[in-house]
Amino acid sequence: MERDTAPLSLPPSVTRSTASASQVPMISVASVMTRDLVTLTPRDTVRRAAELMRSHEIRHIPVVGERGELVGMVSDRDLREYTLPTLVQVRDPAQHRAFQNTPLNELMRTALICVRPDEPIQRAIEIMLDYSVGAVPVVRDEAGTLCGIVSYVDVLWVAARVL
Amino acid sequence: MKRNESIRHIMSTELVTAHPGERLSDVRQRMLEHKVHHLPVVDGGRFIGLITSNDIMRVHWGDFYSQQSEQAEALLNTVSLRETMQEDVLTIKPSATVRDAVTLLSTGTFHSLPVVDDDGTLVGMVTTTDLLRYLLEQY
Repeated sequence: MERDTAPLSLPPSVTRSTASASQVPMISVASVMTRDLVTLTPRDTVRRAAELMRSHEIRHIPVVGERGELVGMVSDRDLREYTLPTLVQVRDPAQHRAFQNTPLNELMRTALICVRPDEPIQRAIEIMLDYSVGAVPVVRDEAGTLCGIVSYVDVLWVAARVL
Repeated sequence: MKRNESIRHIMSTELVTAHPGERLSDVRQRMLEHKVHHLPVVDGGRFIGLITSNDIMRVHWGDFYSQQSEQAEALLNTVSLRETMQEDVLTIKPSATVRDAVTLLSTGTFHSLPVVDDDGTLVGMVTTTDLLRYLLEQY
């Protein structure tokens, strides 16, 4: 998840359009997505999800089924009401600990808009803007097999090189 | 595409702001009304800090959106906006380029950049959403 701060060269899959010098290059989702994924299962708890987000410094984690198929997404925002104790829970820490054992299938987002690796990054950007999400899961087939995730940070990283 | 496009081209100039003397409960209400997670704090037009929904949640505990209890509201009014806001905020000058803003925001650690001129006056805000929209327009 960590990035070098040194400027990167464009990935090999990036080709500059020859049609018009004014266009930014076509870039595929595959060339910018994160492939080294942190994933969770629907039975994992809120506590586990929050720990992974902290240790990996990420805000979105895909939830996958037994065959690696995407079944949901959780973001730090989804977890917030579970991880921050309410006033009642401050007085009763045991209640707050129990709350954090909530399985992810009770709160994960299941209405998911995905992209395919061969789609252009514009499609991922459109989804981020239209649905106000910070990351879009990438699936490789009809079964929804997860193969990556593309976040707004990945996209800005590209923008820093092409703009 | 124009390279080195000025930040003025994409920044928002119709700003929703907060003021240092305000109650946190009123600031929270304004964030909910405008569906934003951060507000620049200005004092006589000068930028002095940034207040986010996370900062407010740290004060009143619990969910930013649903918790409306009197206790939570009362807690919010025990501290001032000035004590709660972030003062050490990265800003950008109006003479900067879109590329400069992209470089700063691509670290992923914050979502908005106040645009502040040499006099310290807040003249705009640039968010990651503004940058994504601009990038999409280039295709």
